[in-house]
Amino acid sequence: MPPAVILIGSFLLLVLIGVPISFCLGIASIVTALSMGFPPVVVAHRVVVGMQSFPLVAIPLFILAGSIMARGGVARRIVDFAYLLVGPFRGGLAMVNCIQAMFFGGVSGSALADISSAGPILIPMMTQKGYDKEFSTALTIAASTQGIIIPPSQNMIIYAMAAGGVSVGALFLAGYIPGIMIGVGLMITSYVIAVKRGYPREKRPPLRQSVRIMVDGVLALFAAVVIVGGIAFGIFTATEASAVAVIYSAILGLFVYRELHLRDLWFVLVDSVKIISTVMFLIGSAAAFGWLLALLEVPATVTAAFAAIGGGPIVMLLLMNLLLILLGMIMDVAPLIVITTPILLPVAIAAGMSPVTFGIVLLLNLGIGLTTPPVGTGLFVGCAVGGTTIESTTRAMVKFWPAMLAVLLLSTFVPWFTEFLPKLIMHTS
Amino acid sequence: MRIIIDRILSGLEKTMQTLTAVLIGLLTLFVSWEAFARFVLHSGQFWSQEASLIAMSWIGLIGAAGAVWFGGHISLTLIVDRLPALGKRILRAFSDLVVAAFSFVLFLTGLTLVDATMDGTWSSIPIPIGYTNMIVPVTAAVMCLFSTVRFLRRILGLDDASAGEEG
Repeated sequence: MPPAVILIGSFLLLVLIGVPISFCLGIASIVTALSMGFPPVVVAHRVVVGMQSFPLVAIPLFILAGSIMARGGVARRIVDFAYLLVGPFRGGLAMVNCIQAMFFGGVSGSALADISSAGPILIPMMTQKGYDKEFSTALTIAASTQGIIIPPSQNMIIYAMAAGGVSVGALFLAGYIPGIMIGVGLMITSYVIAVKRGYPREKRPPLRQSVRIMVDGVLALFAAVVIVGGIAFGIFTATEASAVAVIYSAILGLFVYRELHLRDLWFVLVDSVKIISTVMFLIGSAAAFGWLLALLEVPATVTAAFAAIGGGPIVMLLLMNLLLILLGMIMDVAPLIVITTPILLPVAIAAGMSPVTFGIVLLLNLGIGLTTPPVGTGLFVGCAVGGTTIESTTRAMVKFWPAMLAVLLLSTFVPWFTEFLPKLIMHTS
Repeated sequence: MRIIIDRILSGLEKTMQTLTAVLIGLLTLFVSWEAFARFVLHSGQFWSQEASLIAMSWIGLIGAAGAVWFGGHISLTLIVDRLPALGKRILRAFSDLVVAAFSFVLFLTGLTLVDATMDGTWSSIPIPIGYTNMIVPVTAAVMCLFSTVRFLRRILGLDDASAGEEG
């Protein structure tokens, strides 16, 4: 049997029978290495070295910063700030939901941290004002996907590594326009629904309170300016920026908002162990798997197969998006980034897409996947927070998918949306 | 007997979780120091960079070993969840067995890796790379232990919430 078939076949078989994905990657790599006559120690070495990369250090630290922000009162300040800005519009609280997710995504980079920290504030607030519970929950989930597109985003760093060193600064800048477009698309959808259902406008708080809310909100959003600005202008690396994000969010929570105590920092650390270590181990195993994929020229074979279907770049890119959406419906974001990037990036490049644009398109697809059954972590967490069922929330979610799909298609076929900011600020070609 | 084994292994998992949390804290300090040294002291700190790399692999492996005990690794449960109870039990037991077998191979290859890297040292931390690589066989042995116990519990029909599944 050809080694490439052993590699992909054993991996898929193990995934389908429910073996943890990081182990599937490791086992498929060892079996394939043995079939090729390599000693299995090569795989163990790749796993360890795969985790020992300095740019990767940014991943655990951004995850940690997101957890500190979620616990340290940042979410509530951002909700209040968004309330001040868009509350007085028709369906104001729905708008607040979209804007807060945009801002929270702009400081934390995690969709799940957004749902679990802003959801418990916003969903009850919305239902109390007469919004449909399923609508409120579905909107919270859909809006949270801005978190993985709008920088900083640990998923972009995972992609940058999997793609073999795409500029994190360029990726971060490329995410702004598509991320904001998702927010705007969801706001337009919400507005139309709000007018149809007669959802209320909110009163603006008194001036004194508004000033206080604005100061608190700006302090939270300043993290985004420091992190993304610092990276984009080459002042510091993504790794250093992630440490700045941890320290800044800890200072905000401990001394400015005073919602954190020192012992809470320890609990945040312990809570983040599971997600950080499982993601790190996954990246290590994927390094071994990716090495064999490249060695066996699997990406070139897949690219040739896509090209053989015919129809040119447009069909290739549409099929690629379809495949990613289907995979996103059944698998989580981080595993899909490490598995699909080495295989599909060459397909995208062959269709004329830049690696930076592919990174954003990949994340947009996987972001949509977070909101869909049967396996959508965003959907699951949102339903748990909102107290709704998967079925009823999915029915409400259907109304938000067109906006998300429109942004996906625009980002796929109009490179301006992803390339304008990196070109403007970093002068990338 | 079963309760004692559960307590010991759960205690081991908690210790590993605590150790990983400490390492993540240290990692934050290393990177912060690195940034501080570069901006304020205008000097590169290679030791903190290398210490960060070592911490990264230790965080990944120790945390991942702990996660085997409580089923914390991401897996595709789409098919398994739709099976009748017996089918679920068989596939989950098989999955534990596969993880145990992989961990055993990782343990053996880890020993080889330690041996092969004993001669080289980190460039700014004067310890052999083999020492820092010892984490591979150690954590692989723990993964093997955890998954073997989970496998035995399943086939004996003793699995409960402490070895529960997560998506």
